[in-house]
Amino acid sequence: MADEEFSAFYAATYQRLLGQLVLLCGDRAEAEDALQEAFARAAVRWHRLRSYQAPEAWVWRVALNLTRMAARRLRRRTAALLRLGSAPAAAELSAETVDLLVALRALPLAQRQVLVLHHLVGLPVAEVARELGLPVGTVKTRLARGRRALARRLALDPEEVSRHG
Amino acid sequence: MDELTVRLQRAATEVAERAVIPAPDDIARRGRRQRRRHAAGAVLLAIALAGGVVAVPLRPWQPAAPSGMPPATPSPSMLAPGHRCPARVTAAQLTAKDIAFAPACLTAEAGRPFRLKFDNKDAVIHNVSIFEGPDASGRRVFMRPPFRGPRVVTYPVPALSRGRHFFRCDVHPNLMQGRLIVR
Repeated sequence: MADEEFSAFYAATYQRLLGQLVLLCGDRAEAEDALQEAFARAAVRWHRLRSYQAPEAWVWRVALNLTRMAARRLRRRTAALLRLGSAPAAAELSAETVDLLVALRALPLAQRQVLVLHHLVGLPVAEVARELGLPVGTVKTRLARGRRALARRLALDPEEVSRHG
Repeated sequence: MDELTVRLQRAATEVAERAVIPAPDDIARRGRRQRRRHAAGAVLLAIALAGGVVAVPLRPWQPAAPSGMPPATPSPSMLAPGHRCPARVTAAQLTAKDIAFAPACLTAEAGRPFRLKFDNKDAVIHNVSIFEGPDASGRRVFMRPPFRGPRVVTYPVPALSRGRHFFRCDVHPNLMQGRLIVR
């Protein structure tokens, strides 16, 4: 049986973290696997994590590390799955979201990370830099390049996108 | 808020809303299972570092290799040690439950096609891929698309060459792995 407090924490955070992680990975199955793994690790350490100020940050970081480790493997696996047609679960998403995931997947992981942390998680540039251990200038460059590349792929107005931030 | 941020947030919300959320008990069970697996691995590592000259076999799941067959090499996979391959089968039964395969070791006859009954008891998608050799770096010899459980599908598997094979779920490659011994 899972701890009641852990169950409540899990129920309150799982979906939101999954949404963020899927965009960061560009792959729902990989994100689900990493996030479930991170929560599984949190469950057996809950007696310690419960006293943390933000257990959610711990889960997020573990899941992020797992997806980083899986990034190379993911590229091979995705290619193999695409050869067989998309998985049933992927069909449930709207065409707009699938387009966005495909466009994100085409970006380097370094650009996806800063885009998701800044635009989706809502961290200011300085915090993104601290989170990833990068200079602020590098984060800004990656953000600008990532925004331009995404806008091009999604046929958004590049001027409108680059004016932001 | 610019258009890109709106698109990202809309997509994340959609993914979140349509997610299949595993039960917290299943997540907790997965954590406990992995902890046990790590503990067993640590014990084996300690034995190996101590010289490995004790009565406990280091790889008890390996079948006795027939004479003339090269000895099996250690696998880098995360499979828990301690289980043995069942007797020779021609109609293998594989179950997926709680993001794990059971059994984690199957056997088949070399050069003879067989039927693999795959029972996915989970409410998430799983599939089966088979590779030659001890891990997924070998040639892929069988793969079927993932499907959501609970559902049972029987696959005809083509004849495989003699030797060790590796199988896994491509959707959960770290957690769902097994060995297929073809002899």
